[in-house]
Amino acid sequence: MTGTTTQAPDLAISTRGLRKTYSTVTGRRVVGVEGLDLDVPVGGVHGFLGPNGSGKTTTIRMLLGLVRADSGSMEIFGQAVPEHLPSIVGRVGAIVEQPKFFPSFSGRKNLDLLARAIGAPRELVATVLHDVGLADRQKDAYRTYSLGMKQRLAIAATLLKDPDLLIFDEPTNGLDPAGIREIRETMRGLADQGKTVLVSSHVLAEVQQVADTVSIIARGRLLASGRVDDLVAGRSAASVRVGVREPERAAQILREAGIEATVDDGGTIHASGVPDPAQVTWLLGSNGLYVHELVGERVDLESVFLELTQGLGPGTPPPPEEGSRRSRRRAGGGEQ
Amino acid sequence: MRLLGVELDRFLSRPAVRWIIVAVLALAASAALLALGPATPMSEAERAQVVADFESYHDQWLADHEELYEDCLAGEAVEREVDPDVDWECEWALQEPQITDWFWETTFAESGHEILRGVTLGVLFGLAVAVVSFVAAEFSTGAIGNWLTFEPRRVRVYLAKLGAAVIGAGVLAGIAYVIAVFATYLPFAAYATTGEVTAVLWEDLAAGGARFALAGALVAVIAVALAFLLRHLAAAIGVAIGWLVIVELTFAAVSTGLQRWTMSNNLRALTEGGTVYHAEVCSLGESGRRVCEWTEFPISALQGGLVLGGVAVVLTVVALLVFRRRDVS
Repeated sequence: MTGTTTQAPDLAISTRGLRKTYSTVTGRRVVGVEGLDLDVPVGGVHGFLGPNGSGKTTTIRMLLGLVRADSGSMEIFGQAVPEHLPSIVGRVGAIVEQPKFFPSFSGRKNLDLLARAIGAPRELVATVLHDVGLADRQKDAYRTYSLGMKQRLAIAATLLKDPDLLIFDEPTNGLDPAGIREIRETMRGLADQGKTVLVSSHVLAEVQQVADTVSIIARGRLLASGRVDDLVAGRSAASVRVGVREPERAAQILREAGIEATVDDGGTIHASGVPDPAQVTWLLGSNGLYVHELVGERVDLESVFLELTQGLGPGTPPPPEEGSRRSRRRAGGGEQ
Repeated sequence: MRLLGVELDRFLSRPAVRWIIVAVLALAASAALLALGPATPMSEAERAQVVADFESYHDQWLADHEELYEDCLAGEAVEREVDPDVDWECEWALQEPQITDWFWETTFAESGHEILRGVTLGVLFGLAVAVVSFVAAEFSTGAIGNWLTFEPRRVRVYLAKLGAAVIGAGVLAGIAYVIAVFATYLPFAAYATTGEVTAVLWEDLAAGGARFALAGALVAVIAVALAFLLRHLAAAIGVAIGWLVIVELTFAAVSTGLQRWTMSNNLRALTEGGTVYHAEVCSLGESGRRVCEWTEFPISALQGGLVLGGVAVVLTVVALLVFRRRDVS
């Protein structure tokens, strides 16, 4: 870890070569994060996506100084962490996994203690409780709160610092649809105030609705990163639905040209990895097969995520070699 | 200081700690029950019974003691044929019984300290549980992770909790001691059996209170370290009981010299202003044979304080190093 500040000023978070391994009870080393290079731009909502066990929470914990990295460097707003975390922590609010407060204390008491610890004015506690809609339940013991209320209290706690960066780790886990929407609107609202929000989540549709940029990781490595629109648009342009006579022969011609092509039960070809749709018409036309339908297929963030993380979830065999992963990234377009 | 204030607030606001404090203060007040018996003067009937019992015993002694003495000497002589260093201390048979030894009446001046000992260790145990619960709950609930996102300087976090525990336990130990002293005094005062309560006695009790508060603070330091290392109340209590049974009782019973360094003896020495332990000392007698006898050894209050303080410092350094490096899940 270095103590230098080399990060570009428009990055809220930057990691380079971040690595973390754990020891199991049998003494075996398990890699949690493997050489992660992550950039989170200042402002907006940044989705941090990955299958279970991909290293999202570990990365967040390392950024917050809760877990020690084995190697690599991390910066928050250009300050190396964890070395300079004490000076930067006032600008960072975080909820890691489920909110954790003292169960027997009231929501108000929990926030009072935190506010006093950071020297925040006591009046701010009432304000943030009101802002998250917990003013009526502030005197009730935290253990009596629903999961949604616990999440709201955690958000209120982060707001005590008026942070520039908010980190939410799986904030919608266990919430009902109304709660999910509430959290989503809160995140969007914070981003609209100019704050940076990093949200890790499995709920990709939610992330797509709220995130401006995303990073997708698996097995502790970055698979793709960029603006949501670019990632999705890149995939959309690369995937087309083709209507043609003799679909099997047409698919074979496309495959021989290096395009992934499958034929569905209706005889429609689905081609992906297409650099330019005109290439499809040219290839087929030059073989006497005239296209009567050529439609770009809409791809959402979930399909991008699934394609990138295919076979990289928990319980799957080891990841492919670095070279094959790189070629997949290049084919995707829009990624790093 | 800000963190220390927050931690003190949290210590005193925690319901489990509050219940333990109530129990500890109730235990201290229960010294009144322990004092009630000794403070109550004997009734005339009891006195008459004691006199009658004593006279019967004394008559028996007058009739038997010379014979007992001779028998003892004879037995000793037989034994000395095998081991010339044997000493049965037969003079005990010649000591005339005294009726004053048969009356159980006592005064606060004579027995106050002794009665206080009946509650002090319980008070310290309660305070240790309160402190471990105060720290360990933060780990078991996961709140420590949230806390560290507000104050990532772990040494400060540790020292704030340590300070709160030391102040809380030290002050509570002092309060509990004062309650116990007055709870002990009240029954004697009610029956006018306080005896000669001098300024020296009160000074002695005050010094005992100061030592007890110090013991409370040292126990809190050790409890905080255990809580940070083990992160669970049950685990800390388990380790403490395991230590007591394996080291303090088993090992120290086998190797009696270890008793000088046991935590329990040194804690007693500190709280009681000194204590003694008995160890078997063996040497070669005049005949060249190995002779062993139980010997009383003193442990001073100063040693008790130094040993407990040393243990507290070592455990604190270890716990601090572990807490600084350990991942918080």
